[in-house]
Formats: sequence, structure tokens, C-alpha cells
Amino acid sequence: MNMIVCIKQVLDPEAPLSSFRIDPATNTLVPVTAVPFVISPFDEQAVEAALKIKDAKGGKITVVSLGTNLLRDVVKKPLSLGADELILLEDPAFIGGDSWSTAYALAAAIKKVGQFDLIFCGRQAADSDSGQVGACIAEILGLPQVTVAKKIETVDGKVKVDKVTTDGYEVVEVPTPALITVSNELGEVRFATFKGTMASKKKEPIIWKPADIGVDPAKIGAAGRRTKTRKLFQPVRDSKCEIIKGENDEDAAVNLAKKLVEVKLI
Amino acid sequence: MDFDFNDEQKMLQKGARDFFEKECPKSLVKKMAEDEKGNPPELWQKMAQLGWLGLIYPEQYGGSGGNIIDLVALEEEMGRACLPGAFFSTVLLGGLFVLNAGSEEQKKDLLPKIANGKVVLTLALNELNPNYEAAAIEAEAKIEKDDYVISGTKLFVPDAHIADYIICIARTKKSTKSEDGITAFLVDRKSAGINITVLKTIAGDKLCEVAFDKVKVSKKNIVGKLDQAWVPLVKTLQQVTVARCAEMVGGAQKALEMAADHAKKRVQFDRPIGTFQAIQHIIANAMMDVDASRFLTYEAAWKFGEGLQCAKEIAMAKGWTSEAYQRVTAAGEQVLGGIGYTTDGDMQLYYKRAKAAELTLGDGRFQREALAKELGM
Repeated sequence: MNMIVCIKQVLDPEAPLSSFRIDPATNTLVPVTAVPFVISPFDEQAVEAALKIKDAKGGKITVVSLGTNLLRDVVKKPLSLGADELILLEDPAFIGGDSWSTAYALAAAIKKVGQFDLIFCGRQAADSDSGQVGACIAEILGLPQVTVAKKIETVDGKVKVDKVTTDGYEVVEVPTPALITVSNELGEVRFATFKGTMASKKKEPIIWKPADIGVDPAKIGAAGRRTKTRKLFQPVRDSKCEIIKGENDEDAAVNLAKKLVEVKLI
Repeated sequence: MDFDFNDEQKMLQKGARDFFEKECPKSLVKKMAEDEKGNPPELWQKMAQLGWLGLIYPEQYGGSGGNIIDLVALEEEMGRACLPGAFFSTVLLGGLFVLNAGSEEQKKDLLPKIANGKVVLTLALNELNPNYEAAAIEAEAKIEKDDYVISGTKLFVPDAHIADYIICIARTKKSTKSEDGITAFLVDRKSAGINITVLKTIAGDKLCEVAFDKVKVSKKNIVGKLDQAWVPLVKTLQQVTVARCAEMVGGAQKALEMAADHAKKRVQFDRPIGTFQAIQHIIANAMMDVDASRFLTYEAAWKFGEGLQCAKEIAMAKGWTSEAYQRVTAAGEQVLGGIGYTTDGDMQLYYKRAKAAELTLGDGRFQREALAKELGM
């Protein structure tokens, strides 16, 4: 079972809001204090999904990440957990991309990796939350895709996926090769053992530049964007507190109910 | 000069931070402070599975083959998390002494058991005059046929009440040089004549008075060589002191972050209190204390790992960090104001630990005396 997992390095989404400010000129998020980088949490779930299959059925896991200034102690984490290979698309030409131009580059890299059975992506990145890269990769590569997976099983050339829905989940079966985006309902991700962490030292990442994966420079990074961010802002939340009064508690409760009907909340 | 951890150590540290945030919440820390045993079994086993209990032991003894810098990276996170339990007593004090002094047979027997979380060990060193000098060891072990009979009282023995074995440091021979004639015995905690009393502490750590009343121990249970325990004991104490300094650095870092975060959010007089110069200076001083402690600890650890003379560096690291940690947590209490003093809050956990850590392995005065000796005074 050859599996590919796409991961993204992001600023720690658990960092407090006060750690960031928005640059209105570039519509980007700028950290004001030292915020650590991490792997986007849903991508960690994607790695865990691949590891579960490797534990059960064996196979090889190739992790692919696109970005700049990729910190090795961040992006090598999947290697410490049991992934076999790490490929980094690391070049300034990849900067400033949107979901489409990112997916285009990743798809090209995946084609170069060669034969695969499954591609795993996180359901959405923790910074942009677009949730489109996985779907775009599947479209470019002409693969069936199942999104928001909470459980994945491989069965005789097919994969059976429990896909999260708004009121539960549905079971979907697709032939391989296929692409699956993984959600946090998959469960807890494992921690690396000390030996696993030390073993990752021997696995040097493979670096690919645009020329290595045969992409059209006009279709990657900022040059390949199909979307434009018009405005990035933090919504102002103004809360007003109205005390509902009454002669006694029961009276106040009636008045509250009337108010909720009046503002069409019930 | 590169003062940073390598990539793998950073990964270890980040992984440990995530692990402790999930598996060692402050609710568990507070619960263990009140718990009779104080060593959460599930957490202990999970750390064993990650290879952390055997991190510092060679692979041939069932360990993970890590070095002292790896241990420092992990210990910082343990300090940050206020990790309760028997890591200090078992893995460091007891386990490292076995590694440094034990016979091949003892190492092959005990170290894998520690690494797998199967055994709790501790070291009984301090007595009524706990000054970490050889002359302070007065507990006696007298030979009677094939056994030694140990008599004496040991104080502040960590986790003795739950240990499977206690390594007792006792005097087997009187000598003009107090470092000679000291022997280590591996004693089953359930041996006849042992009486253990858990002492009341401020930081939730389980320290015990262990009275040895004519406790019989076989000659085979000497750890290492007869009369020659002092040299490996000194080496063990050096390693453990570095580890403790790292733990203090991690705790101090967390206390600093809590204070800084609070100062940015707490609004008084229509502005965050972090905009007042007095608060800014308090936090800036704390930051300098944390970094100085960190780099003194790293230097001591690096030198130890390289096999270089490092008694001076270890004394500086312990002496400075012991006091810096207290300054940082006191600053944290000041910045947090009323909430800082309540047991609902977390700053008090670090404040208490700072004091407890100062007194372990020699406080600032002890370390200054050691430094003065290093300078030939």
C-alpha cells in the first residue's frame, strides 16, 4: 500500500489572538510575537490515518509539503511517527499561492512520486481554512475523492470510508487510487517515541524545485492564483447585555420568552 | 556558537509539550499533590511506552540511548508541566546511580525494568545534616557473616513509600578521608526493620523519612564496589543536578509566559497592565532570569556530555537557577495579583516548586561554597 500524505506548516493555531495582527496592505496575518510553527492539525490527522493503515496492512508513506522556510523540526515530525519519506517543495516561486496553485504544484509532485494507492490530506488548513487543496488535487489527477473522513479501511483494491455528515456519518466505498481528506473525528494522533524521533535524523528530506516537477511557472505560487483576497479582517464583536426584569422569577422568565420571540430566536 | 537544540531534540521537546498538555493537566497535578502515592500509573506507563523512562540509559540495558542534552530537552517540559511522580527518584537518582556504579548484572537486571515502568527506585542519601558532603553520611552498615546490617535514619528520600527498592548510602568503614568507606546497598523496601514516614511538603512532592533499624542486606546487594560508592555518587548527583536545573528552567519559562500573557489581557485604569512600566520591568527581569538560567544549564549539560570538567558550571547553574526560579515565580505572583495567590490558579504550583527545587541537591549558599572552592578559596 503506497500512501502519500500532504502536510502544511502553519503558525500555531492555538497561539492567542494577541500574538497576531493583520497587515491591511497585503491582507496577510503577521505574528507580533514569536509564534511557533506546527503541522496543521488536520494534516496530523491525515498522517495518523496513513499510519493506521501501515500498522494494519504494511506499506510506504511518503509525506509531501509545500512552502518556504520549512522548519525541519516541524515538517520531519511524520518521519518520527513512522512515515518513510519526506519531500519538500521548497522554493520562493511557491510563495503566495492559493488553493488551486498549491494543489497544482502538489499534484505535479505526486505524479513524480509515481505509483500510489491513496492520497491523504487534512480536511482544511488551520490558517486559511479553505478546505479546497485536497479536492483540487483529486480533480487535477482525475481521482475519486472522499472528504471529511473519520475512519478509513482498505478492502481488496477499494477503500471504505466513514464520511462525517451534519447529522452523523455515511459509509462510502471507492476504488483506489483515491484521495481522502481526514477530519479530527478520526481520533487521537499518536506521540512519537524517543527512538522514532532519533531515527528521523537519518531520513533526510528530498527537496524539489519547480523545475524538478515540471510545472509551468505561471501556474504556481502567486502567479498561479485564481482567487484574490479582497479583505482580511477580524470581525468586531459588540455584545450588549439586556437585563430582563420581572416582578418575580416566573414573571421575568415570561418576559424573557416574549423577548426571544420578538427577536425571532424562538 | 549554536546554543539551540538540534532538530530531533526540538521534536522531542515539542512532542513532550503536546503530550503533557494532554496527559498531565493541572487538575492531575493538583490531584497527585493530595494523593497518597503521587505517581499516576497510566501516565507512568505511557511515558515508558514513549521510551522516556529509559531515555538516558544505553540501549544494551533496555534504554533509548539518549544523551544528557536530550534529557535536558525533556526535563524542561516536565518542569513546565509540573510533572508529578517518580521520574526524579527512579529514572534519575536511582537509575543513574545503578548505571554509574552497578555491576553488569545489576544494570541488566534493574535498568530495563525501570525503562519499562516495572519498578520504582529511589536513593536514600540525606541525613540529619543534609549538606551533600561525604562527612554527613553517618548511617552505618556493619558486616555480619554474609549480610550487612544497616542502621540509621535517612531524610527527604523521594518516593520511598512506593519504591520497590531503596538504594541506601551508608558508611561501611571509618576513614580519615570521609569519601572513603561509603557503600551503596540495594534494599527491598519491605525488608524487616524499615520504617517509612511520608513527610508533609509544600509542593506535593513525596519525601520520606526512612529509618533503618538493623536492616539486613545481603552482600550481593551492594551496588558497585564496597567502600567505593562516593565517586559514582558524585557523578550521579552532577547529572541529576543538571536535570533538576532543566526542570526549573521549564517551570520558570511557563511562569514567565503566564505572567506576560496576563499582563497583556488584564485591563485596569482603562489599559492593559502590561503597558505600565513597573509591570514591564518586572517581566523583563524575569525574562533575563529565565534565559540566564537556561544558558547556564545548557553549558553545564554540554560540558558534562562532552566529558569535560564541569563542577563549576553545575554549581553556577544550580546556584543561579535555584534563586532565579523563585524570583520569576514571585514576579508572576505579583503580576497576577489576587488570582496569583489562590490555589485555583496555577502560578502557586510553580511558586512552591521553585522553593522545593532550591533545597534539593544544594541551595544557593551550598553552590556558592562549592564555587569558592573551585576558585581555590
